[in-house]
Amino acid sequence: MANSEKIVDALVRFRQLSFIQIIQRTMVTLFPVALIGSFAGILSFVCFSPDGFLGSVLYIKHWLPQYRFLQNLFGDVSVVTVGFLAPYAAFVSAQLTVRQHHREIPSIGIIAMACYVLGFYHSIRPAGNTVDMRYYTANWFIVGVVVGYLVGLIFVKFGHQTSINNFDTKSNDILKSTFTNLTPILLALLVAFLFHLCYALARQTGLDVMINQAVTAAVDSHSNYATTMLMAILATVLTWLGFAESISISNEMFKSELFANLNYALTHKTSLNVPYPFTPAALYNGFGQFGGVGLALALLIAILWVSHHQNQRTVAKTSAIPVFFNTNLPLTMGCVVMLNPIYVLPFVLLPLLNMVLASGLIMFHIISPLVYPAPYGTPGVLAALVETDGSWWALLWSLVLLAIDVLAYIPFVKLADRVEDRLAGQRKAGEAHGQH
Amino acid sequence: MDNTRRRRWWVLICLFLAIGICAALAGRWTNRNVDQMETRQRSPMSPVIMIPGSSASVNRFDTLVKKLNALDHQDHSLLKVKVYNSGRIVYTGKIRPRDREPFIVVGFENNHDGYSNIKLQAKMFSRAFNQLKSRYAFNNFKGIGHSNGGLIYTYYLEHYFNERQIKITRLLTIASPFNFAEPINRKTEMLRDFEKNRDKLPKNMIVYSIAGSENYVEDGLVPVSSVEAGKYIYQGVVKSYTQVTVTGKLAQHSALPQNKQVILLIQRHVLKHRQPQQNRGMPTTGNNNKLSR
Repeated sequence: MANSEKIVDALVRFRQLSFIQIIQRTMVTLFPVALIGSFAGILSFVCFSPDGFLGSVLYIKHWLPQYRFLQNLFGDVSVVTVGFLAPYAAFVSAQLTVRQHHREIPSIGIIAMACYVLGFYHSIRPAGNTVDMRYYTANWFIVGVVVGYLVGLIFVKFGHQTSINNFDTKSNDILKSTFTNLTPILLALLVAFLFHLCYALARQTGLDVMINQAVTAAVDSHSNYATTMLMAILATVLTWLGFAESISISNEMFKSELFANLNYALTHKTSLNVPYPFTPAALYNGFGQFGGVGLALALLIAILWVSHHQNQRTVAKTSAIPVFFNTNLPLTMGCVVMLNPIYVLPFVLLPLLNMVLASGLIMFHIISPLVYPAPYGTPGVLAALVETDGSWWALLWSLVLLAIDVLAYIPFVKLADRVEDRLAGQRKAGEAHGQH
Repeated sequence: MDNTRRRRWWVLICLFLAIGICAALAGRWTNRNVDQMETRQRSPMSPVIMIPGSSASVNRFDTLVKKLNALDHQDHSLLKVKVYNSGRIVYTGKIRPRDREPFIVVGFENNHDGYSNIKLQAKMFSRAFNQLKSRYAFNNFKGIGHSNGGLIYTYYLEHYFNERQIKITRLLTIASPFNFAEPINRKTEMLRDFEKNRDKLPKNMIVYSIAGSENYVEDGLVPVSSVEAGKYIYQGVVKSYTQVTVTGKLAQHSALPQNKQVILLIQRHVLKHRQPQQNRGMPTTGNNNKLSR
């Protein structure tokens, strides 16, 4: 018991680190944006897309001729919310950083956002000009927070308190107060510009394309069990750190093996002896992603099951639909899973456990290998069912694994509750202290 | 405490309801989908899909098909597909049952020249192709494009063709001006685009490009050098790329589809090549892996 108290103490102290406070508040601030964006994304890519899960199983193409219009309509909403989350994070985290140092600088958020966009906005390419939009998506969330934090620190060091909220001041004074902050503005933009320059040089010489090609070539070769596990670890750890870019790569990985498997299964009308029964896509997408990276669905159920924090439960309830369709963003943001040491163990290790157990089931021919294609946004628990051509055994085992995962998550949710209680207690004590 | 129990019941009910409904739908979908894919995998049909050039109609290849049928006595059927600007797709003719190698001509209401039109036509072709593939369960096909038809094919293959199960085995372009009428030291925007996206071309495709020549330089309309610019797009990316120049009688641009040599080349190199037998029981070989692009 004393030992666990120590853990709670350590976790509370970690939560009070200044950067951690910033990132967690940024997440909670942006939770509504992420939630709306996730819902729009589900509608656009899962529901109204003929390649999406609901679009496929409901054969939307055949009875809803306007599906493309609807798909783009909601797709736009998802782009301006989730698709721009990184610069928004820069905005919020910069504002929070100066507030943390008890300053108020109105222009700070916009400057941070401009710095972020400047850093990654490029029209330079040796052949043709295109602007990559992927740097702005929620996958780059943590980078946005860091940029905002750094810009905030620059302003804290060199900036001055200004106020435009006071409408009694003359316009002259407002202008003057803006000029006093010219140094940090220029400094922040200069740093962003230098980064922009380095990156532009890399693009000019085609360095990033070469790296991209090398990575693609590496992952297009043959996989083995170790790389499969390593990739799963990479994906979960990076997502936990707030950087989810790696997952979008892994969908395309080892394509040739997937094709060989499918080809074999279709010609032999059985998937029992396919050449590559343990491809990363099969194991990781089939059993390591119930509700998205880090088995978010298991976490969600565990929160609804045991958490006595009304806020946590509300977040879980509102994110239930996106999480069911494998979009874990609202839950990881609203329940502060990213960079939260409480959840790092289950978030990273439980998917591995699932994959190991599942590969055992496949090895002993209890369930057949996962070879058939699944539409985008197929709920994680149903991926095994779909990819085995409707094997109910596969679904049953997925549910068993899900139950194990929920049980494993429960102690961590309870621990999170205790940390919250302690923090709330301290806050109350602090307020009481302040009043006296 | 009662509250907690009620809440837990709700969680379980909602979860199992959601999983149950989705699982029923997903199970039905995947069964149908796998059935469809298996049918396609077994299908022996391997059509030749042809695109005429600018200002030409879906009847462009009538003579060619007639002559080919006279040559190999296979009684290939001829299906004509016309795509209107409104998106309407009209079929004339039909495919004889058990015809393994029918000809399908895809023509467009908008049959004008120019890069912007080629882009539009490639998009329309993609629409027609998607309809064709759901109507006929073929798993591989051959492409022939006359003049701008070859350009439409190139644009289509680079931008729209992304099939898991359907493979294009051969592509034959006849007098396709990959650099329009420009000399080769002045590359058009189109040729530069084609080169930029050449990595997206199917790797296992065999490509033939036929040029016609009336006077060492051009076929009366298209410079030979412009046809030969196809090498900048295909050479080294696809499985093989062969350039053939046809001269003599009927080597004029519009006469090329009726040219004897061209017809022989089509018969020899596009038709009747061994059907990629659906490797029944045999391991796949590199060139027979119809699922890789």
